[in-house]
Amino acid sequence: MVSFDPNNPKPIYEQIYEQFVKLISSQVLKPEDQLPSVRELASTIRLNPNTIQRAYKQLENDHYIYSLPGKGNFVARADHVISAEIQRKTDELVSCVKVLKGLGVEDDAILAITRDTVKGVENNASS
Amino acid sequence: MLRVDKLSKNFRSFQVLKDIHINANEGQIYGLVGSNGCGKTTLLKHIIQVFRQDSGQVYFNDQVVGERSEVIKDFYYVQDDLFFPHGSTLNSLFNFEGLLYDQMSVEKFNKLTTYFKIDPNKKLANMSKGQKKQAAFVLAMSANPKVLLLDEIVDGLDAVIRRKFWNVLIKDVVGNNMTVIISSHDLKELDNICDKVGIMHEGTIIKEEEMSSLKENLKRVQFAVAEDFEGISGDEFQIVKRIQVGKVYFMTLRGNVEAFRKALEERYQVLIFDELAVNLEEIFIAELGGAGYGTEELDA
Repeated sequence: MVSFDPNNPKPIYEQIYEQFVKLISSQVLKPEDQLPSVRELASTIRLNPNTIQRAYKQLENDHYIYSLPGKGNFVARADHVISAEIQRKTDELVSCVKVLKGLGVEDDAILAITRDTVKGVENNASS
Repeated sequence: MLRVDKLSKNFRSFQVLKDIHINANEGQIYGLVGSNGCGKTTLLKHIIQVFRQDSGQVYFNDQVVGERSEVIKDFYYVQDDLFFPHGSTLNSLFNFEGLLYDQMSVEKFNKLTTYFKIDPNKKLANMSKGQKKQAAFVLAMSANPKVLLLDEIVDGLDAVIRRKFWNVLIKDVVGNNMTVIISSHDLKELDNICDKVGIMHEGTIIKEEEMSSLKENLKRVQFAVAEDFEGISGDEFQIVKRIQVGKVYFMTLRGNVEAFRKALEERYQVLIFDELAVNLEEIFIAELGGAGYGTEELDA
């Protein structure tokens, strides 16, 4: 279900985190579905259990999953997943804007791109 | 917690262990790595108290670990050079060790012999090196120790068996909150498995740190610049190793990668710049390089 690439400079817990986010946002894992136990996943993919624990903790902090002591980890309710996705995409947008500014793109141009994109989406939706 | 405190040992005039400190936590896998002949096996034999130290102490949950102490019954050591009594089988050893270890589980023993496909009635003398290692591991896990010391356990095991071995070990570390110290010179095997690493060199622990923070502190980059590269320096980073392949440079750094990148961009026109993954092997080489090991050039 998930794997990691030791040649990727990204920390391994982040790699695991991102794959679960992908599985949850694409609804391969649906709300209330149980995630594999730390023990099971660690031994299957031959990875330190605490690395997986760290990824699960991060998923929980970001409201993608919730944990029930003694029972395991479960995918959060749909509205929680959606707000978590909104938060994550907003963060991405902010960092993209920062990069554009860093590259010397004018504020007005950035706003124009954003406005046009929003309009374009509206037009597509209405047609 | 298993703690080794200021432990030293001399064999005649040769000091084989010098002021050793180790802190291994419950539910964690501790990787003991080091150059050949640095004293890994000798240290493990002191933790299990087969050898007596000249000074210093081993503690488990703040209790002194001695040859006759009660806590030693929860320790299990699988040695590298396995020796079995003449004519013994896995079954006969299991029955014998049942007298030594209170937590010996016949259920687990049967499960593991089936999983590793070992005939418990076959004479151990007739088994291959790899099969003997598996047999010793099955016994160790059946004893349900609180502290498990594994000396070069994966050495001589094929890829399929190694997988089985890790599978069983990881499940037990999580399930039973065991403390595992595993020595190996095969760093690829320990990478991404250990919580903590102790790097040993010439009888001392030159570094003991959480694997995650070791990896955060050491970085590897590759880059190429348009001009002739004449070096780079800065306050926020330190270059540990530098290799040049044609126009491309590979560097191992300590410190801030972004600061390094900025310094590079200020001085040169940077054509490519990538951050690469750091593995335990690079950490090991960087640390031992700092201790003056492996820095000699080969004059051929």
